[in-house]
Amino acid sequence: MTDREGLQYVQYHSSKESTYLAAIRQLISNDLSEPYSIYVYRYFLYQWGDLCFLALDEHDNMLGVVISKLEPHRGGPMRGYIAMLAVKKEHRGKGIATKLVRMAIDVMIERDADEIALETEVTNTAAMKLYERLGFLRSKRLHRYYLNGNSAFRFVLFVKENAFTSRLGYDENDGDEDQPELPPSA
Amino acid sequence: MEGDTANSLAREVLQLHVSAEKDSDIPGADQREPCTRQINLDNGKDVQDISTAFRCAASVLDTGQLVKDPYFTLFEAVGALEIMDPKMDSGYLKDSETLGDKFDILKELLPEEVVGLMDQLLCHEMAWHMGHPLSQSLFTSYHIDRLLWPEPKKLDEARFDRQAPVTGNGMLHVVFRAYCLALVKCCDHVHRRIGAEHYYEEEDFVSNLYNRNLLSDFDGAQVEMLLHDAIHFTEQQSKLDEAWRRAIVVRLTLRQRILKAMELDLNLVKANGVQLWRDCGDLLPEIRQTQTLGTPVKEAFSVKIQRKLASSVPPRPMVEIKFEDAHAFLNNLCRDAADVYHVLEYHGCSNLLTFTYMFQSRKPQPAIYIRCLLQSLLFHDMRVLGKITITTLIYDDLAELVLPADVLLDPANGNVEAPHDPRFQLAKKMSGFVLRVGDPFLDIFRAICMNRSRARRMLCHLVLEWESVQLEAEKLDAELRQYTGEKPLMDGGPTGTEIWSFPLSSWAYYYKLRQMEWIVQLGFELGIYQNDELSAMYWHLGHLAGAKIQHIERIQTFVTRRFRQPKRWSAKDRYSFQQCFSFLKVMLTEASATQWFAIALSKLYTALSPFTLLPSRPQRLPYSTSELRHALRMRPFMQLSIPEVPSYSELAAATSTTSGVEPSEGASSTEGQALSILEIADEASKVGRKEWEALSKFGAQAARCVNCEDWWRKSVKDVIRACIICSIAIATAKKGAMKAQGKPVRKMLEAEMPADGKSYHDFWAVQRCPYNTYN
Repeated sequence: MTDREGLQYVQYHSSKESTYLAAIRQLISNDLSEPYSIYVYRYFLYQWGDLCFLALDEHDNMLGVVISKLEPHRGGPMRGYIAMLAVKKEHRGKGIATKLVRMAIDVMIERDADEIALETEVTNTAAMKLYERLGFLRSKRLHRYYLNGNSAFRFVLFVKENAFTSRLGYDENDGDEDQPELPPSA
Repeated sequence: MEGDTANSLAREVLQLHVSAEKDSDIPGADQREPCTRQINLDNGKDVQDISTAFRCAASVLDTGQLVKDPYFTLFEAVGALEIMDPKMDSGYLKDSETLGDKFDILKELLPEEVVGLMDQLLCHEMAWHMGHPLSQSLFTSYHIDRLLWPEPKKLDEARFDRQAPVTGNGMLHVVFRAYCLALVKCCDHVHRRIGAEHYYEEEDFVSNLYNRNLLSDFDGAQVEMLLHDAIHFTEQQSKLDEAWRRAIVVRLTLRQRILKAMELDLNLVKANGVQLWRDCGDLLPEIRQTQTLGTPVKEAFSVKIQRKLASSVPPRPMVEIKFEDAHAFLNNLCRDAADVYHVLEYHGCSNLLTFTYMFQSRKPQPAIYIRCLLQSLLFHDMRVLGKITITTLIYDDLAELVLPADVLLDPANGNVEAPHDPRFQLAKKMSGFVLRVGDPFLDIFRAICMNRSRARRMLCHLVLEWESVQLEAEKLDAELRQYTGEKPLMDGGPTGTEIWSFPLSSWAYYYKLRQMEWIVQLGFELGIYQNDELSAMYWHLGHLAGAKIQHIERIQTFVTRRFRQPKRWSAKDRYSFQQCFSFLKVMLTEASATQWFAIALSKLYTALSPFTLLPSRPQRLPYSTSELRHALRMRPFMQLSIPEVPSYSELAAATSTTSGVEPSEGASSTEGQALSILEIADEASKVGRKEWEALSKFGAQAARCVNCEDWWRKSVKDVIRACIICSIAIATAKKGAMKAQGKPVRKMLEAEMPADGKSYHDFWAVQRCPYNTYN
């Protein structure tokens, strides 16, 4: 799929690991003080490669990437989770991230997601705005969630109507013992 | 605990590492000949070399193919490190990089360096208190490293010269050593205090000691002696300039006082805790003034020490806290610590809750050490405040809220031995009740002691527990009637329904409602709700406060009825009733004040919503509907029986600009509707302010804030100020809507939300007055 700016949006597949993985890691670690090991990427890409989307320019340079997963959350609702989202600095503000996130969400909905969740740093206004404009709500604040001591908001989006029946009670499946979905690094 | 497992694992890894080193003379030999390598472990376990089998199995896999059993979680993937990646591999050396630094730890110290080093260490200590790991703070000090490793068996071994004691160089060996040891001992006390209470690893505090021991086996008194000697030694240095001498002595004295104040055995300090901490705080101005006398010794700290620490995390940078920030943090710590000891003055259970709540609402929130100290003070020696049984606490509270001078709470019931006697049954049932509710009740206090984000999350869980408590109490209330002989109230209607008092479940419901209110209010404080949700969330808060009003009035009815029954009340009984009535009155005023202010804000935001004065989202959002967002917001309350969760349509109607509103005359429909809603907002805000003012007039005893009156009064005053801002905003909005006369209201009015922490009160998000730029 190519947009007006000549960007292509590509769904990842495990067969493309040798082409894309290095660039994905590079793009994402730029924003992190501490890189994720290769196993973290493979954990997502091997199991949910179809929930990863790439934005490439006409020369196949990677400008943006979203990595996510989808599974029943502690035996409860089917929860999509946006694990990583990155866009090259000089290409921000053009809607690339929104487009990538929407592509991931669309597949999640197709695959019967009940809700979608993610965390962002409370100071990351651009990211918060992006998700809020898609309909996400802040569901809780996570104190000193990131290595740099910053707190996070957990954002949640319900995408199915059966909210009242399938989601009784407060985060039944999301107790205090809950580990962060993706132990943070920033 | 999780940490212990991690520590023991880390120790095993460390041992493995050590014995492997012994084994191979040539570095990297194991990489060249993996299959023939013999591995001996000190613990005598048999080890099988699986390299060949592993290689064979791996050869049939594609690159990137993940072999994963269900037990390999994301957490483990994140924990994995890649060797030879400089950002992950702490042993990785860049070209020409050395393993350690060439810092001479035995180098004689100049007095200005002693002062500088002490202040640097203070910064690192405070960084740890703020939640950073030791590996990135205090454990980057070569001096501390030398004192603690290899682990000293006697305090005397904890020296900078680990070979043989050296004479001379007193600034280092006498003065600085004593300071460092006392500092470590303080950390030991902090570590143990926090470890004994409820906190969240990593978000509040990092407890990892990296296989080091914080001198925990040595008595604080021994360290105190060393400090004493060090002070004496410094004072004797006649050649030393007075200013240096004083700067060093004041730092040693501060350390002495902190060490004493941080004493673990609360029984030794609780009588004079306030004074001990004030004494610490008294020295801080001088520490600040003399800071410029110090010369920092940068090379005495290095992140390379992390390589020696038992840890599975990648190398991480040193945390640099500015002296001013560390000083301010310590200043708050001393102030909060002194204040927290006032909790021990017991003035009844609800007063205790007010204290805990007011103390924890301070900005900045008290440090984790203080929050854990408060938890310890609240409950130690198996008693609340070390002196009150849980039964007494809960009985006090029941008497204050629902059962003044009631037979249910009569301690004499426990003396009855005949099982057929109703009082024997009452005693039995009530002690069962206390056993059931003790933990959930103390959990309310615990939840408030958490960091604010956790407090809200914990309350969301706790409120579900209180739902069960309420339902169980309801059953118990019904059972107890046969022993108390309670007569129902008959409602005046034609059917004559019986109404019972349900005292225990009323008590539980009251606490459930309070928790629900806090959950919503903390949502405002934590910035959980976005601008376009304010109107609905304040409506919900008003709804909860309304439910509380009804509930308190119900309780009042029954207490009043009991008081009026023909019976000779003793003076003590009458006092008990009086206490209960005064409490109910205050709580009713507070609930009403909350309700009206919440309505005012809800209406204000409703009225202004069509004009989108505040930055907000587009009306239509992909992937989401208002109903779904409503469902998400109400999720914490969905499992609760009462109060009924407002349905989407109910809430939508309450916050709609069109329903049930007649547009004011002579205005266009949108502005007209806005004006009508603003009228309601105006009225509500006036009543709200009056109610908050009424609340502020209660005495400390009535308001249950005897040992925290100043904080409570300030808090109420801040809400009143927020009310005033709200009134001004409403007035300007009205003016704007009136003058618009067809022109876009957006051009007339501006609005902004106060920045984080700039509200008068965190629970009340009042937009700054939309100022009229019309003229």
